[in-house]
Amino acid sequence: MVPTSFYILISAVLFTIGALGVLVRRNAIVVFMCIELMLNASNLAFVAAARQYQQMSGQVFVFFVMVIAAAEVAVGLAIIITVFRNRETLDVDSVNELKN
Amino acid sequence: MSADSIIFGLTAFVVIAAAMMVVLNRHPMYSALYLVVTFLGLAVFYLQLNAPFLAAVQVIVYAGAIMVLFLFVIMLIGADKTMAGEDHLGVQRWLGGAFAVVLIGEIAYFLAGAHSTTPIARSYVPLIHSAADKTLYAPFGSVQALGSALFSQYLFAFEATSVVLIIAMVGVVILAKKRL
Repeated sequence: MVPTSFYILISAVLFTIGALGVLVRRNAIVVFMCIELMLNASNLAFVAAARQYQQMSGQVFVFFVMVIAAAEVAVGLAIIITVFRNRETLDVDSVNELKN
Repeated sequence: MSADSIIFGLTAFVVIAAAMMVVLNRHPMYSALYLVVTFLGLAVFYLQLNAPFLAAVQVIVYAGAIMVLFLFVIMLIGADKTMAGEDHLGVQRWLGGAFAVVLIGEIAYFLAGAHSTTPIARSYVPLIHSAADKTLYAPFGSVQALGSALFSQYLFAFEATSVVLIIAMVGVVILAKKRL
């Protein structure tokens, strides 16, 4: 049986890769995908902890995180599409003034 | 080398490699596909961690709905071309990578000294709101156990998420309209 700390390590590595992607990439959609990667890393940590302590609360929390992530993706992509419609670019570095 | 460890090692390699390719790839389309691979690998992890329902939900919701939405948007607004334009980051990109490695090293150092016991292989959790004279048990990670916790202890959060979904739907429809 694989120890829990291995899963936590994988979760931490995934979270760091996601954070790196958010900071380094310029495409807004890829930044959004890296945010989803970070959410999934935390999901993995929750499920691993749930098995360690034999509590169903960890899995219930993952359930809720998945629901909220789905809603967040829908709204976030709608925002990205609206920004693209108005600015004709997906570059997060060039969307740097509030006034159009 | 038990089968458990071999599966863990292979899946960990696939998940981390696919996550690296999500960040490093130039085409957003390929990043999205690598992210689907990551999600499927995570579903395998959930199966190993006694969470079969969450594994199925991961595949259905994340890989089957969220990533499909991503791919639709990528193909709709033509983001599958690589981005032109000047690069403002320069050396900070490499510094970011170096700091990420340092962060992972720190986490691994602390986890290596952590007291991690080998968890119980299989146990039964009591179902909440069992009958008065007899407590019902369900295997850990089963649908019964998850449903029992979801609809009794976390009922308010469950109802609140339905409100969140309605709000998200209304928000998306309003944002997508060309003229309000």
